[in-house]
Amino acid sequence: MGPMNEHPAEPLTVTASAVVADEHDPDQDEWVERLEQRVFAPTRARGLAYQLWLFGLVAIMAFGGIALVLQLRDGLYVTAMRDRISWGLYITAFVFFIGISHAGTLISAILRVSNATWRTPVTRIAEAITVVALVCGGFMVIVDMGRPFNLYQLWLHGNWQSPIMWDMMAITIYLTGSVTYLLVPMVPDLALFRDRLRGRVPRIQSWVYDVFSFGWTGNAEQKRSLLKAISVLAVLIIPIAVSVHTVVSWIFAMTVRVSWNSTIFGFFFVAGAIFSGIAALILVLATVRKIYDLDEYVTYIHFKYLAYMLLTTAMVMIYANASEFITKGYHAEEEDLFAFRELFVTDFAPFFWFYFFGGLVAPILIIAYPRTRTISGFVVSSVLVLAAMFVERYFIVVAGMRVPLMPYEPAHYTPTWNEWAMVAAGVATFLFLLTLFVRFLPILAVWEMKEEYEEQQMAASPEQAMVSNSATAPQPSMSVGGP
Amino acid sequence: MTWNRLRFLRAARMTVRTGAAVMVFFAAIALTAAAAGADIEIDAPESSTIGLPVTVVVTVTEGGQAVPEVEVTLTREATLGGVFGFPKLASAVTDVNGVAVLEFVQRADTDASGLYRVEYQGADGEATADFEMVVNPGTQQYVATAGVDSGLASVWWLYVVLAIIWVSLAFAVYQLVVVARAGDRQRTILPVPYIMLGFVIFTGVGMFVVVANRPATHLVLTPNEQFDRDPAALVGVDYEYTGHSGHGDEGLGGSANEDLDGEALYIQAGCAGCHGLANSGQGVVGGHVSTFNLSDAEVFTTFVRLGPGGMPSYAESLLSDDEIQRIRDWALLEVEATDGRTVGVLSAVLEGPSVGEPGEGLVFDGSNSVDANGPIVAYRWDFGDGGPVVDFGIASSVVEHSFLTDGIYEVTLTVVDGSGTSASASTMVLIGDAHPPVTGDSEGEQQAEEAEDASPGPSTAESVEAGAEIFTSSCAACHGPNAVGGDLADSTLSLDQLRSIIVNGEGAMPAFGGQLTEEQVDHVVDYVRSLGGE
Repeated sequence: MGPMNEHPAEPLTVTASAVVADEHDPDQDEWVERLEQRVFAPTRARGLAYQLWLFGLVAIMAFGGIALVLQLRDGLYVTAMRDRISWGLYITAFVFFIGISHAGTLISAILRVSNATWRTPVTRIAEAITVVALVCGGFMVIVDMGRPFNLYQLWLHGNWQSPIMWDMMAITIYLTGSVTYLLVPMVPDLALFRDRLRGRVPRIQSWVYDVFSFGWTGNAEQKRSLLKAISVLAVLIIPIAVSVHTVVSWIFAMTVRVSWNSTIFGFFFVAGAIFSGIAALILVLATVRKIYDLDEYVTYIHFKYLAYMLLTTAMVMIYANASEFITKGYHAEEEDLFAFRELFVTDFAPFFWFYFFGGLVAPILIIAYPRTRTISGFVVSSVLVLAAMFVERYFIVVAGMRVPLMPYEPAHYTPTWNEWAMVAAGVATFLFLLTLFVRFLPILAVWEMKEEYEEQQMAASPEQAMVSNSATAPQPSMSVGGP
Repeated sequence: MTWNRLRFLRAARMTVRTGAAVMVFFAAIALTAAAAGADIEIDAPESSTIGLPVTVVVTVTEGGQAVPEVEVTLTREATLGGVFGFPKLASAVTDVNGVAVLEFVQRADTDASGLYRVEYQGADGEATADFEMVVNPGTQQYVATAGVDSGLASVWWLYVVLAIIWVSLAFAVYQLVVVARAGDRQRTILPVPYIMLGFVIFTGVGMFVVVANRPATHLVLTPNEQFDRDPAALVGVDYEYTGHSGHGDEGLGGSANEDLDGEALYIQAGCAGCHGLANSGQGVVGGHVSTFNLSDAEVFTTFVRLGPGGMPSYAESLLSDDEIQRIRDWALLEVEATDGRTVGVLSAVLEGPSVGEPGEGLVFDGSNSVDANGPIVAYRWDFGDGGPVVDFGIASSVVEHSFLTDGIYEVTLTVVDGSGTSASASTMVLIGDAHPPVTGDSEGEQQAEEAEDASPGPSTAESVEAGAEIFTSSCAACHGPNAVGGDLADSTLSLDQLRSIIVNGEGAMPAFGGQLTEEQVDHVVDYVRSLGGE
């Protein structure tokens, strides 16, 4: 391991932040130290609960692997998908994961571009959710293919006028973009990990920190380049994220199916994606906060703002549904009536009404009512929203497929155990990768939080701000971790 | 009373139409007579094409003298919205030579009347002259050409979007290179951001290549050889069919090998899409082709033509009778080849409950009956309770029956194969307490029905039997227990409603008024009503 030998472990005290902090008041020094220790904490935690949790997830993934092998051997025949209903749980899970992936990048990028100062403790986890959910979403598409080994044919003979090609392109672009968007703002924090954890973690782990901090020292040129990259990515990632879920909706809307034949689908899917993304973010954030004691940084305010965004998107969802159903219901063509009947009255009625009351109305009430406007209330709302959005994707896919295009008996679809196993494995993979992320990588944007903290301090005492301004002018305030 | 009303309406409509035609005829004669002095000479083409202009030159003379400055009108015979008349097509004023040029664009359809009329109404007389013109089909005038060809809406936008995205991504990743260069660890760290940059550029350029590879593939109908697809999905006008599953090159028509030809048709017509390849067990619907009613040519044709259940109906334009038979011939050979069934014994296998309660729906299953020499064409059920023999052809392989009164019944299943050979099996059923079956009770039921509907004639056992026969040949293909229309025994329709539906058809059901006499319809009605258990 070359880098390790060239750079023997340095004493922890010799860091720029420590040096700079000498010129500041000891309170700030202590605050920074406390923050860093909080961020390092997950890398040390290795309790029994953690082991059991990982073991459980791996077991579920292994079971899904068995189902996958069986499916590859026997073909899609092992699923309940047939000629009349040819999409099922896999596509449901695919849309669901892609939706969750919007948590991250979109929310984090929008907050960054709009310069919302409360965003800093939230963005990193949001971006991580994006990458992990995208990986799982892509996996579900591949699972839905009869012969995934022929996937490369798409690149060799792909027809870009086909929605599957748009899907491939959009997801590839989104994955590349969001990995970059996760990595770039993480560079200074990885440098912090590199400097402070050397010798305390396994060599391979240390090597990863070393390589992916790109020799970050925090000098002016590095800082300028990093900010340039971040601002380009933050602006770029918003249209990419919007287009990805629009393309996902087009896969439905551009097919000749009654329930999907709608111009509102692109907007509707993007809104639904942001909706479920925020819910996932609240849930993950609350869990991580609870486990790693992040109460000081991830506060009630953050949850409240996210919950307000959740409430707003819930209302947008209700609006979009109303617009869709009233438009179609008014001219009430025969097929639309069939779709409505199965959705509101017969087969899918329990799903639909759970989605409507449980996933849209209930969260709004919980968040709007002051007494339940607590973090527990938000967590309950998020769980409801996630369940409802999964169910919503299910009835969009299956109920849409069920409306007959020719005079035949409407088919029925009940997922087989293979499908459930594979979807469970998808969820387990999501949680597994997220656990690994939290375990090994900085879960808070430390350098951004430090910057923000310093700005607040300056605002609090203008005299000192003058001093620290002049003191830090030659050496930028974003001097995290570098010697 | 629906049926009678329909008959009346039809007669009334005919009367009105005929009357109108007669009146116009006489009016025409009268008009021509009134204009005895005038003479109209017409120079018109013998045929016209839809969508193209037609020029008719008219010369008006009166006693050899040209008549200038009069208006001449061109009309044609037409029926619009049920109203008969002569709508105006064009009009013009004659010149000094008495010549008027009438122009119009042909909008009539090809089977419209070809009768045209020129009218002239002068100061001292009027005249009409008729001529005929054939309408030929033309190109459609009201359908836009396929696609919108705009130089601005093109694939170039995709290139632009992809370029913006990937250049921006590459720029962002390049900043990592800059970061690494500005750091103190250039030598060891620098390859990593370069590799990342390389990946981004490779993927971005790759995406361009994918699009550029097939910028407008919907125009390229020739399948790439590397596509690994079922040829059935690609059979079309522009694709040469090259045989299936190693059978070699066989064309679709005029093949020397009849059975291969049938297979090609089977695939081309889309049968394989649902039924799978014959006897392979892969089909989603219908499973094995051997479950088709293959033994009887006519029954098979009827099945294909009607399209029972979820199967689409194949009209003459899709498959000719001859082609259907070729498919059948091939399928028979296929069954023979895969099952090895050529000669053998027909035997009926009857499965069903041995005890039950009055009114309980008991399911009897004869579908395990075997016939080594082709499929069974009919399953006849005699339930031994005085009711009619149930026979829906192959559709009654599984039936449900409820016995109304306590007793011991002998249920007999008779299966018949294509060659007319039959075999029977029977079983005893104990219903409720073991009292002897009460027969002849059905008379009471029939009386009740008559009182309810005021049926014109009592339904006799002969009528029911005759009806059953007609039902089997004309109705069972669709109305078997598991097919369209559900269980007719549950029908709540009145006598007249039934009759009207049989005569006029309803929904997807064709009208049988032309095929069955009134008496035969009555038989069928009696039979259908005899099915209903109270």
